[in-house]
Amino acid sequence: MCRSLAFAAGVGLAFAAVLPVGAGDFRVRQVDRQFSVAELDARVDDTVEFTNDDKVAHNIFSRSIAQPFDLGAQRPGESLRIRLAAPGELKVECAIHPRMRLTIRVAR
Amino acid sequence: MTNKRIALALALAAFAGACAPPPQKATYDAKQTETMAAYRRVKEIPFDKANPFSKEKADLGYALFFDPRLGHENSVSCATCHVPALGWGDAFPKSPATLGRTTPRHSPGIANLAWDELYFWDGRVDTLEAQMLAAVAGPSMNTPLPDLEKKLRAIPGYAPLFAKAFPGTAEPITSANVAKAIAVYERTVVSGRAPFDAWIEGDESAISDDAKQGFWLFTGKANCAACHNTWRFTDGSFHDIGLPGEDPGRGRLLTSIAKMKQAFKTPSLRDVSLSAPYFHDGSVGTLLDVINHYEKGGIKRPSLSEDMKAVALSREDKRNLLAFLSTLTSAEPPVRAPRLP
Repeated sequence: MCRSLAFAAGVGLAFAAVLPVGAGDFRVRQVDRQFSVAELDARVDDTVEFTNDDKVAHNIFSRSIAQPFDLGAQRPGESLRIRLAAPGELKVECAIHPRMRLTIRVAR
Repeated sequence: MTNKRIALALALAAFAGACAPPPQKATYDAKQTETMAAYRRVKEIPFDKANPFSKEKADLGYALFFDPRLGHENSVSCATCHVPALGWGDAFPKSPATLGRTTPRHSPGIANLAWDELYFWDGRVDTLEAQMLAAVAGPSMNTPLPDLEKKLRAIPGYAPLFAKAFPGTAEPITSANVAKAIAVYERTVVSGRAPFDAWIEGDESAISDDAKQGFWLFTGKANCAACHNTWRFTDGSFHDIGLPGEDPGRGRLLTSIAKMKQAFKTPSLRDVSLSAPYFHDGSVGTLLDVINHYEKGGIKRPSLSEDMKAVALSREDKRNLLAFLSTLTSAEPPVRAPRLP
């Protein structure tokens, strides 16, 4: 229950962290139901821009304690960004396509 | 050979050549060729590194899968709900459970699971081993795992099979090893070759022109391939396809993700002609009903998949789609139950 509440609270915070589309520090594409990279090394306050270059929708999220978030449904062609708010390791997944996995290591 | 005989042989060869049907050579554009290639069967089964294949484990798993003594009152095996001749599912809308109960969902087929990431309709476990233990201990089979071990240790014929499958262990009959053996066996369960496969590999006569038109609809306008893709005809994805009902599906696990409410795993369409009724709730009896549902696009609600869109399909379109779907069913005989220890 506590974990669910923490996740829900984190999701709320992450929505606030979704930034307008622009030049990000990192760009990750979603193509052929895969992330274009499997791992990223980044720093706090860096941004990651996710672009859906597939023909199907995606739904990127993370249950990681460091920064849980849910970007919601992302249609083909759309880009969404997150700001990396805290140090730690983020396991990023697509809720629709569980094979899609990305690890972001965030240093201070 | 005399000259006369050589002349006769040449004449016969020429005659045979003249009578043979001209080799069929279809022309597909680059996009069609690429689409077809994405549906070509793969050969290697990806076994789990933590539980690698051995013939001994697969043989043991084969026996355990079909053994009703694993279930409540020795009356339910895995094969009770996963019947080889029914596309490894069953014919009930919602599968029966023990003690006169019914499970909330239709029995899914278990072929080609070696390629999956998550198991059960709602993806609540991430290994076949965990899936198997949950099924045995859950309402379907209702055997607590300590009882399972006691039961199997009481059957003398199992001891040598477990000893061969798990050598070097003092007590190999454990529920963890039951799970490993059945999981290895299940990973060997791969759908048989179907007429569709022969077409993909170049035999133009393997399926009808209607079926080919159905495939282009399936991968084109009808948008079925948004989820039913790869040679398995599923990408293992989770979607709310807009069926009535209250089952939260994957939303019970990912409570904060709106799109996962009433989302379920995309089933394979291999041997789909054998596995009626359809959908996670077994709510429709025919593939035409399935197509009619997708034509309408499902109930509009926030969780409805972005890939669900109403599509206009003519009667001919539907006929072609049905012709295509029928080519996914193999003529190979179903797996038979083994002699049990």
